[in-house]
Amino acid sequence: MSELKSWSRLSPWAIINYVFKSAIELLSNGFAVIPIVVTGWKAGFDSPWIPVAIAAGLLLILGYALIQWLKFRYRLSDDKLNVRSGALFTKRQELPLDKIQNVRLEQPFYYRPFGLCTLVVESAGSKEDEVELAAIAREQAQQMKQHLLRLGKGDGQEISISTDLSLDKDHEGELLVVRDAKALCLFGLYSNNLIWAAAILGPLSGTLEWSVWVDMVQHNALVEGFNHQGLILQILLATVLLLVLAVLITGVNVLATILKYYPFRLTRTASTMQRSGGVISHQQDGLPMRRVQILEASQPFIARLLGLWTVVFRQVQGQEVEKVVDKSLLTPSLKPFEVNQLIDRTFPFSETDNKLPSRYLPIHTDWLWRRLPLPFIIPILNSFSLGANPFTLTLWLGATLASVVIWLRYRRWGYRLGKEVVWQHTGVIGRNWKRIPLGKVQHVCIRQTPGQRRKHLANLQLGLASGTVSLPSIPLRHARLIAEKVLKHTRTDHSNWI
Amino acid sequence: MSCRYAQSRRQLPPSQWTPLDRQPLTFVGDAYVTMVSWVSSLGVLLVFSVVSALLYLRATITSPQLIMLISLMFFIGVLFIIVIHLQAKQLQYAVFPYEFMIRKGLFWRSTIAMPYTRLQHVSLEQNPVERKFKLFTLKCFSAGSGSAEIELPGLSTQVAEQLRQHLLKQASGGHEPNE
Repeated sequence: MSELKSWSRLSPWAIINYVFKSAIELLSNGFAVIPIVVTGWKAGFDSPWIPVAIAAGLLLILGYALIQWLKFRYRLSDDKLNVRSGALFTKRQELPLDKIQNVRLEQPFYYRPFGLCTLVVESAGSKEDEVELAAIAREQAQQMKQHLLRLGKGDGQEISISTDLSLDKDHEGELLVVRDAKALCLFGLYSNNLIWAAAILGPLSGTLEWSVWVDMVQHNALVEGFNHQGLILQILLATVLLLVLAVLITGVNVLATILKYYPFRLTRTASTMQRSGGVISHQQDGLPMRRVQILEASQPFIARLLGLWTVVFRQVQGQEVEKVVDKSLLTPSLKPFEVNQLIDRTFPFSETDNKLPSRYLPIHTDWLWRRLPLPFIIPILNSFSLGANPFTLTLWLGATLASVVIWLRYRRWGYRLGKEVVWQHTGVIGRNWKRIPLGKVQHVCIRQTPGQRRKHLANLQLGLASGTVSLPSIPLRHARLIAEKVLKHTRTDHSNWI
Repeated sequence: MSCRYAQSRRQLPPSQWTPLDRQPLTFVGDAYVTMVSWVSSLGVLLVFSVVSALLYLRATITSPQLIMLISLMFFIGVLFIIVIHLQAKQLQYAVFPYEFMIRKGLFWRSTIAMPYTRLQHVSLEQNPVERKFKLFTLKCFSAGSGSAEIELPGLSTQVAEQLRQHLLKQASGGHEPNE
């Protein structure tokens, strides 16, 4: 790799990338201009200026892209990656390889015919610290990726597994998961939260608007005989409209999922994990294994009906594989046995703790009793001051709904102590398991209210780089046990955990 | 003799260990309590006088009602100051061979422990009030969240600097701490 040690320039094809980037940026920021353009158009200046303005805009984008390309230099040495860039203001970046969080290979559609790739390197820090090397030949990009990730592996103990090493040679590694179009369709279906928002809130707001509010304004009408037929028709119409909307949104979501992930492949080498897929822009994410903080298996409500799970590998907060969409490395549409298989093959070093537990220890009912009365405070006060009317009734209904949610949350909240991990189970209508390795915990907090002190209960918080996990109202002795276990694991472990 | 010595060094079973939330820690000290009491008193006084003045000038209520309202406010204010004072007195910390620990809270008591191996960054901060009282706030950060996992206010200049040095050394070290 000696050629890589001097400053080099990207191939001219990178200009295409810059053009698309600035065009997208311009379009997404350009909404503000739309009203001006439209009103201008309506006012009747269909003058020759508009094509001129468009041409000037295009030229500007092209020129900007050209300058960006001219100013961009990079240098990859044994232990760091240097980049000089910036059209107007020069920016110098130096990324030490052991600080690199993950490396992504993207292949947008316009690079596919030429076998070119864009290499995106993310390091600790903010979005601005991301480095993008556009238009690199696929072979070279793979090579660079290997180089970038191999030095990032840290203490190097993982690499000693010989079987993985042999597989490492062909860049691919062990194949963990492949998902076909059908599985991705199902994922698009069950991961779609908008349907639920529409399905639940829609009719609710519909009834609120058409019945309750109308009643409140003209409450005499209710007594005198309201036009019921019209009301029912209106509600029916609203429901149908919402259903159509929900189906539409689902369709779009399924399509987007396919475009983004198909054909989904998750592979693993000795020290890194890779995901690839994407129709329009083929994308390949690489993540050093030790960066994985928490493994999270979740199941939204529809996924429960289908018996499927999504597995997410959580990283250090703010440094996820794709910050924009706030999704870490995720694996869609897994059957329960596939989840266990995946955990087992992802963490082959731990012999236990590699199965989703079948049961969990519940949190104490104390948690429930402290929260259950809260939603009813406002309706009770209201009933006393205003008496029974449709508004108070709605408040009671809302409070009942809230208490049901609280009860469900209580029922699903639990934990399980494994040998070297803690499992946390949460959920309301969906469910979620978190596998928390003790060695990744950064701080522990035991918190007690006076009531909990009397009942020997405590809230336990485990602070990780991927976020805080809390177990409320668990027996004090369990809280102490987990806290002590965590401290025992971490106190002498000086290896890099992020 | 040696037998008895060995006897005294016998390991305690886990059931006899002092649990994390019962470990004796060091109280931060009187200077901090004084500062917090001053600040809360001044704050309460300010709010109290502004609201009283407004009530007196603007409100259309009878004077017995006014007196009752103001005395109620006074009572709540004093209660607030007392609670803040007691809470400040509860702040404790300790430096253990392998971890740093703080305990805080009057009603909701929490004990936070952070192993040195997971410590990324330590900072000392001082706001204008603290500058007046010559006190520092120590903040310990680990990775991920942008906020400090441990925040320990009310340290004197000397203790704060010493503590920071110690924590930084422990955090950067791959070596065994002295026992």
